[in-house]
Amino acid sequence: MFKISEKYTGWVQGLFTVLFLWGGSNVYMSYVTQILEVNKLVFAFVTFITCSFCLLIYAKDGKLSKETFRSIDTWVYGSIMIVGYFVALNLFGLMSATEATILRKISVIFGVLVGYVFLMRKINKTQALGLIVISSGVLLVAYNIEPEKAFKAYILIFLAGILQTLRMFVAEYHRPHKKATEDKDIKSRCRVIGYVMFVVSLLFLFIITILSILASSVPNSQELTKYLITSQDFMDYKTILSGIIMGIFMYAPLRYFEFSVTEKIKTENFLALGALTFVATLFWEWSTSSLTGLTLRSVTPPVIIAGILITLGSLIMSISKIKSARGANENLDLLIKSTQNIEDVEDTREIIANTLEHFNSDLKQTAKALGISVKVLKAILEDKDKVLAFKPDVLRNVAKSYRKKVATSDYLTGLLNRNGFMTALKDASKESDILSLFFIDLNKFKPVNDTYGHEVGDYVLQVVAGRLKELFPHKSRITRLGGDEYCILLLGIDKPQAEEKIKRITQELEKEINYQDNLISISGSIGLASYPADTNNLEDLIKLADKQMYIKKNRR
Amino acid sequence: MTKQEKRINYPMSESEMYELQNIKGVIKQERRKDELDRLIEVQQQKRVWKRVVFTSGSIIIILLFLAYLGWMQNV
Repeated sequence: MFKISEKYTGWVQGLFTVLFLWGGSNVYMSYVTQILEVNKLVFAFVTFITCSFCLLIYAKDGKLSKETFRSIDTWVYGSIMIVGYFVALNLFGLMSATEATILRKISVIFGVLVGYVFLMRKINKTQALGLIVISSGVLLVAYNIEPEKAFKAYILIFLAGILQTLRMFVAEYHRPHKKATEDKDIKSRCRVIGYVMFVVSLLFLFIITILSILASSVPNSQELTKYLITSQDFMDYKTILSGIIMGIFMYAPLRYFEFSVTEKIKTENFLALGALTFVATLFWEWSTSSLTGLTLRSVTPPVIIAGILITLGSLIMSISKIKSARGANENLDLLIKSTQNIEDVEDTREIIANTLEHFNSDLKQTAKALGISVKVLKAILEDKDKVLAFKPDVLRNVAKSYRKKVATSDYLTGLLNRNGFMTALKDASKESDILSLFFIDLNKFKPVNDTYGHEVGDYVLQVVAGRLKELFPHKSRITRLGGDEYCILLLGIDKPQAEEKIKRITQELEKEINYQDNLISISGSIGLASYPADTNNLEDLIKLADKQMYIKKNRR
Repeated sequence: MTKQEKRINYPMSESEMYELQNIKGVIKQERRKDELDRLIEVQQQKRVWKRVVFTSGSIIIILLFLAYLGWMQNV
């Protein structure tokens, strides 16, 4: 049987979304606002509530329902979404769909600038070129707007750009949406967006109703109420039916296909297809003009040139994204290209930076400790745009390795560090009722460092650590607290039993260390404290053993 | 493998829980704490979905009715 690959389906769905749904819905928005003259507020509400219903019916019941309602992000994300939609409706009501489509590309410029200013994302040469081309297209159309519409249009363009950019960034931070995206479950994503649209459509209705009631109570408010709603607007069958049509046949499929396509082909590929929106909108506006009654008078040669510039600019931007994604992600299945989620990027970079510091910038050791390949490590280190992060499941594993091998371990000896040891001490008390702790301070270590240098000193510390590990391989926790101080915690060993072991430890420490035919001899002062024989407080255990060690050291 | 061991090793999957027709009955019968918690969670999630779909569906019907009234007025 001939089996269509998922990628192929993704590309077909992507083309359908851009050419039919995006292009078609743009023209439809112009049609309902200019020809049908619907009330935009009611139309936006009807579209959202219908789309929400369709998405929820498709997604069926499932997880993330409660979470979406409880998340404050839902209200923020949804509000930006519906206000953005309302602004877009106004923009499409003011000019031809083709012009409005070009002008909405201002969000690309805003998006890159916001990333550059607030998220420290660098702009590469190709991106800059794309940005210049898009900007010139937008400026060309903006310059050619009829003077009487210009002021309103500029405000709407600015608002549309800001809101679309905000929506893009907020979507990445919306926790339920993020969770659904991570799960790669299209139904979950549809469900979450369905709930968001439901919540926000009701909020929107509530706010506009309150505003309308307030406005109607103001004397001579005809001018004001013109922009709000009246009960008659809810009986305007054109507004309601066109809103329902928009919700069922355009907005809901748009959401579904956007999710489906980005799962099948990469987001950057979908954005590359998005460059064709201008062509699609122009085609639908022109081919349906006799049916819709929309005039193409304002689609003048400068607008066509601007459209070509926008298409070119968008393609250049997408190519730059595809290139950087490919360069960084080539065979690096471990990574994702996180364009907006700065938290994941920061977590990834912080873990790597700390691990590199831990291993003195040794790439191999760092990669080994985190359980990743050097290639992956290099890709993140070379990512100047700061957009790469581990995939969520990989990040969990890497963080686990980091906690185990870096955050709690001493880089020189591989023993536990102070933090790791304190945690181990608490855990050990749950495992055993009797504990004994040796506090060891090396004698004659400073002269070794002074005579032979730090390299030899480090070697001595490593040898001592190795010997202690060999001496107590089981039921013990060993740490180098810092410098030449070590602690050994023995589980299930009471004080008399522990006292017997002091002699054995001393013998091990006093064994000569051979370093390149130099025999180095050191010794150690050992303090002992037991739980519960000496103290019932675990935190005092180290202090007591330390005190004992000092007494012994002073006696020497 | 005893029945109990089997249940420990193979707890009911979430998708199976969502497909349960009589989730209330299963919750009543269930004795295991972890399974019970999950069943209650699924029941709550289902309840949210039902309420939202019912509300939005009702709003759409009301809107359609209002549109019909508006159309009748125009005719």
